[in-house]
Amino acid sequence: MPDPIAILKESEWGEVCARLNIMFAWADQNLVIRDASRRLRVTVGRDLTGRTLSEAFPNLLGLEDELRRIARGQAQPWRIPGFRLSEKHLQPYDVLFMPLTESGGLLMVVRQMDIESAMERELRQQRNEMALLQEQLETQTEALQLTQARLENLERERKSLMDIIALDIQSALSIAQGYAEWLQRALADSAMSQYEQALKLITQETEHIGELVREVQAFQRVERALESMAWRPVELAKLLDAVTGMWRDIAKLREVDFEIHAKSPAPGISGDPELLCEAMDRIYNYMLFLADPPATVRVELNAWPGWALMRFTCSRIRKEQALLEHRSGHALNARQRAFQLQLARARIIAEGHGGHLSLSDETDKNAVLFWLPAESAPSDEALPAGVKKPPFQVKKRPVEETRTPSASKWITAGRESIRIDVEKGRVWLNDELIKLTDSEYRLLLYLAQHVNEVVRNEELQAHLGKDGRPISLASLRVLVWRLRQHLGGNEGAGQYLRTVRGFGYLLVS
Amino acid sequence: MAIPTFQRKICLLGDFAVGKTSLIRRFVYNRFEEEYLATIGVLVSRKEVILPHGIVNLLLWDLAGGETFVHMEEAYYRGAAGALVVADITRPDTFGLLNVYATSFLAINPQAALVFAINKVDLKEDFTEASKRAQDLSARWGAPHFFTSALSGEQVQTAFVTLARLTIESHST
Ligand SMILES: Nc1nc2c(ncn2[C@@H]2O[C@H](COP(=O)(O)OP(=O)(O)O)[C@@H](O)[C@H]2O)c(=O)[nH]1
Ligand SMILES: [Mg+2]
Repeated sequence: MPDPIAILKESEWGEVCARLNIMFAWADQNLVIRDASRRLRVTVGRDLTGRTLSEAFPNLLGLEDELRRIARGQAQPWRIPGFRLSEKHLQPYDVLFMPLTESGGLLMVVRQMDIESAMERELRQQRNEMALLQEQLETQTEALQLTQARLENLERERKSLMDIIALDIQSALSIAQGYAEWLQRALADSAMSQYEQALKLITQETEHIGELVREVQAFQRVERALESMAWRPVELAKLLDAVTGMWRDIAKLREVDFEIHAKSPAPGISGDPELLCEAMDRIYNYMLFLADPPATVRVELNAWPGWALMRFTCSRIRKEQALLEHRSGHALNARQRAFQLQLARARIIAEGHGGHLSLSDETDKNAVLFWLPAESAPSDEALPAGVKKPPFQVKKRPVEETRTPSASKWITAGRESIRIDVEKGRVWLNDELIKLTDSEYRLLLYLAQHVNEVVRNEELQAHLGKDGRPISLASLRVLVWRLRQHLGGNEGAGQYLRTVRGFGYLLVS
Repeated sequence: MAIPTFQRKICLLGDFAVGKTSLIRRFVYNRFEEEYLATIGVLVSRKEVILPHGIVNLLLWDLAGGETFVHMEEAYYRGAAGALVVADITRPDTFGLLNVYATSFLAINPQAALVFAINKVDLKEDFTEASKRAQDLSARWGAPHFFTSALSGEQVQTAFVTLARLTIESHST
C-alpha cells in the first residue's frame, strides 16, 4: 500500500478521501488544526480550522500531553479503535494519530470502523451475555436443587408419616375388631358392665382412627397445596401468648413452667394464625413430652434479617428422651412415634409458610427452631409447590352388578357423572356401579336431593345421626372425605362435592 | 486569580458486567438501568469535580470489558491519569482479574493513580471474605478501595472523587 502522506500530497483531497474512505485533520505542534477534509467538517458539523484538537473533539481532552509527544516523535503513533468523535456521536471510528515528519505536526486520520471489527465487537457482546446467562443459570440450578431437596425431604416425611399411621391404624382396627367379635360371641351373656367396657374401648379406638385419618387428610392438603391458608399479618408475640395461656394450666400439673422472651419490636410476619397456633400447639406438646419435671420450657422470639425465629428449649430433659435420636424413626415405641408426628405436622405448617423447622443438634440437643419468613408477601406461591400425587386410594370393593339399569327412579349430579338409582339404592359413577356404605349413601342422596344448595354441617350431622343423636362434625368430615374418594377424589367426580369452609357442603348438579 | 482547571483521563477497568458502565452512569447522570449492554469500543463521559485544588474535569473512558481486548489495551490506557478498577462482589473470579488489570495499566501509565471499587454490594450481606481480599489489594498497590453499588449509589461519588484527588496529587501538571 502506498504511503498515504505521499498520496495526500499528490492528489486532490476529496479524491483521496473517496478512494481510501478516510477523513482527516492535521494540526501543528501546538495541536491547532491547520486543515481538515471536507467530510470531517461535514461529519462534525462545523469549521475546524483554527481550533485546537480538543476544542474540536472534546473527547480528546486530557490527552494533550500525549498528542504533543506523538507530534514531536517522542511517542509511537496511536490508533484508538471504536472512538467517538464527541459525546453526541454514537458512531464508532478508528482514529489514528501520527507525526507529519516533513511539515512537523500531527495527522489525525478518521475512518469508519470496518465491518469486521464492528462484527467482532457484536460477537463479543453476545459472548459476554451468554456467559452472564450461564452464570444466572447456575444460580437458578442451585436454587432448583435446593427446592428439590426440600421436596424430597417432604416426601420422606410423608412416607414415614404414612408408615406410622398405617401401623397405628392397623393396631387400632384390630383392637376394635377383636372387641366387636368378642361382643358378638358374648351376646348371650348378661354381664352388661363388660360390654360397656368393650364398647368404650371400641369407641376410643375408632376415634383414634378418625384422628389419624384427619392427620393424613391434613398432610395431603398441604402437600398438594390445597390447604387453604387465610393469609393475614400475624403478631407472633400475641399468638405465642395465647397458645402459652392455653398450655400453662396443663403444664403446671406436670410441674412444667413456661418462659417467653420476645425481642421487641417483634418481627412482622404474614400467615394463617390458626395453622400457626396449631404448629405451636404441637411443639409444646412435644416439649412437654421431653421435659423432666420440674422443668422450664423457654421460648425465644427473635428477629433476623428476613426471618422470624422461635426457639423452644427445655431446662431439663428426660434421660431416655435425650438419648432418643430425633431424626430417625428407628426403634421408637408407639408413644415416641406419636410425638414425632407432632413435630412432623409443625414442620409441614412451617414449610407451608415458606419457613422451616429444625432441631439443633450440637450445643443443646433438644432445641426446636421454628423459622418463618419475615414480612412475607401474602402469596400462595410460598406454599410447597403441589407435587401431583394420586390421591389417597381407597380400594374399591368388588361389585356384583355392572350393567347400567334401564329406567327406574334417577337422580343425577356432578355433570351427569353421578347417577343414583333411588329405588334400588345404588350409585353409578360414569356407568360403573360403586359400592357405598349405608352412611355414605345416605350422605350422597341427601346432598343430591339438595343439589346446587349449600347444606349446613348441622343439618347433615342431624340427618346422618341415629335415634335423634347427630353424628359429630369430625365423623361428617371423614364421611365426606370417604365419599369423595369413592367418587374419584379431587381429580374425578369428587371435585363436584365442594367444601364451603366453616359452613357446609355443596354437590354440583 | 483564575481557578486552576485540570483535565484528567480516567479509565474504568474490570471484567465484563461488573458494573463499569453503571458506575459511570450513576456518577455522571445519577441514574441506574438494569439492562446489560457491552460497550463497543470506547465511550467517553465527562464530569466536573470541584476540589480544594481546583476544578477537575474528569474524562471517563468506558472500555469494552473482557479479555479479548488485552492486545489492544494500550490504545485505551494511553494518556490516562488514573483508573477505577472494578470487581463484582457476587463473582469472586472478578477479584482475581483486578491484579491483572492494575499491572497492565500501570505498565503503560506508571505515574497514574488507582482506586479499587468492589461493586454490587446491594446484592450481598456478608462482606468478610471480600473485605479481606480488598485489604490485600489496597496494601499491595497502595491504593484505596471502596464498596460501591451503582444501584443504590452507595460510595460511588466517594470513589470517583478520591480518584480525582489522587490524580491531582500524584500527577500534577
Ligand atoms: N444489583 C446491582 N446490579 C448492578 C450494579 N452495577 C451494575 N449492575 C448490573 O450489572 C449488569 C452489568 O452492568 P454494566 O454496567 O453494564 O457492566 P460493565 O460490563 O462492567 O459495563 C447490568 O445488568 C447492571 O444493571 C450494582 O451496583 N448493583
Ligand atoms: Mg460496560
